[in-house]
Amino acid sequence: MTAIAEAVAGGLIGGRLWLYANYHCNLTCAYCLTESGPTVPRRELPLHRLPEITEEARAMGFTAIGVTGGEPFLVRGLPNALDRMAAILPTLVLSNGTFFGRALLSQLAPLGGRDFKVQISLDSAEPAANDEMRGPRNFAKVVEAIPRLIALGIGVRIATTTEGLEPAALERLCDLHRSLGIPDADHVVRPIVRRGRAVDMGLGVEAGPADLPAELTISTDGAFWSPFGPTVHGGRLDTDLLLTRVTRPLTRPAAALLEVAGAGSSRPGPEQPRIC
Amino acid sequence: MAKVELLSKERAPLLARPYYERGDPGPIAAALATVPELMQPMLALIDTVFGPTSVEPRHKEIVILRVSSANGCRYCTDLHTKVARRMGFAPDELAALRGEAAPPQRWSAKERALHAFSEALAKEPGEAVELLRAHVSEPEIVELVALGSTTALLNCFATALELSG
Repeated sequence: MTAIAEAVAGGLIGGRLWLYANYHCNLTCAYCLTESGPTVPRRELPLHRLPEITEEARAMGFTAIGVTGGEPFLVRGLPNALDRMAAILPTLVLSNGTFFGRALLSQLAPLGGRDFKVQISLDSAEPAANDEMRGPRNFAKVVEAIPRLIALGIGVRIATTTEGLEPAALERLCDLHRSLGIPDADHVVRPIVRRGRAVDMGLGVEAGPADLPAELTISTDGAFWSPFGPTVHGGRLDTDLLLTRVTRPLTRPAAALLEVAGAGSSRPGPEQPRIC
Repeated sequence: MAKVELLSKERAPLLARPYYERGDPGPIAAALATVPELMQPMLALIDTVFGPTSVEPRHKEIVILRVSSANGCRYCTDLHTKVARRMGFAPDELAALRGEAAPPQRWSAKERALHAFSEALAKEPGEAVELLRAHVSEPEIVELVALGSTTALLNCFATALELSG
């Protein structure tokens, strides 16, 4: 058993390796960790690196891959890379759900029935409340996209990022995702983390390494402690959760993660997301 | 003003944090923190080479300050002028080590050799070791070359990044 596999099995680190495909996005969400938007510089991991890293991750003992951004589906050629990645490890891609038109769905069709899921952000069952944080017509696009993905045999998860949803509002949101065919187990509710744009908006909760599960995260800027690490504030990369600048071979940042995680082994293990 | 960000304690990466525990780690460490995987090996090298070894501290400081001044490193020269003053070097000795005067007549032959060796290491490294041979053992030659070379590395690092105290 590899050191990573042991650490994952022991709950010291999370089994999922996260990849920041890019930083740019068509939306400008109020709480975005990475200050993503349409006008930010286009910084992204080279597409060919995504399957390469996935293969390295599998060999080292990681058990799953997560792809995030930015909006990953703005990266041209991503579906093909996801196809290769899902053949190596279970793959989850996070999306704002606004690009699932006919062209993209046809590219994703080969992923139907595979160990591949799309996690789409949806913050409220009320279109106005959702769109206030996530942009005009976001709600409508998301509720249109979900059935299309499910029809292809692609698993969908819903991620709700909230300052504190009233129980009744949460129940309405859960009713909505159930009606769209998404079970409770695939609905993640999480707090806004006060990093990135959320700092300026005065939103969210402070979170340091002691609060965030150790989940190795690779971006074009380096390797980080958590997917909440490669955040951007005031146009400048946050470095407080940076592990290493080197990401190849993956053994280098993985060793750094184990070093830090081992030093703070009294930390709680990777927490399960709260589900409704 | 430095040419790169010198990371504050609040922005220090995880592997860099131990170096901030006792306050400001200094500009060399704060610059290295931007690439945290460089910190531990580079600072360990510096600590080992500059720290206690078989060569006397006074002799080591002659090499560090003279190499730094010969290399024109303002940051290292100013820093080690203060260090040397605290160690008890007299004003005329400091002037010699800063390249502003000849070595004092009262210096021993070994101290003169170290001074000449340090100048040569900065300007004609291939000539430097022969200036030491009559005065030190072979292990000491290796150690002094490692000391002078590490000093030169730091001189280049500090000058290129325009570090200041």
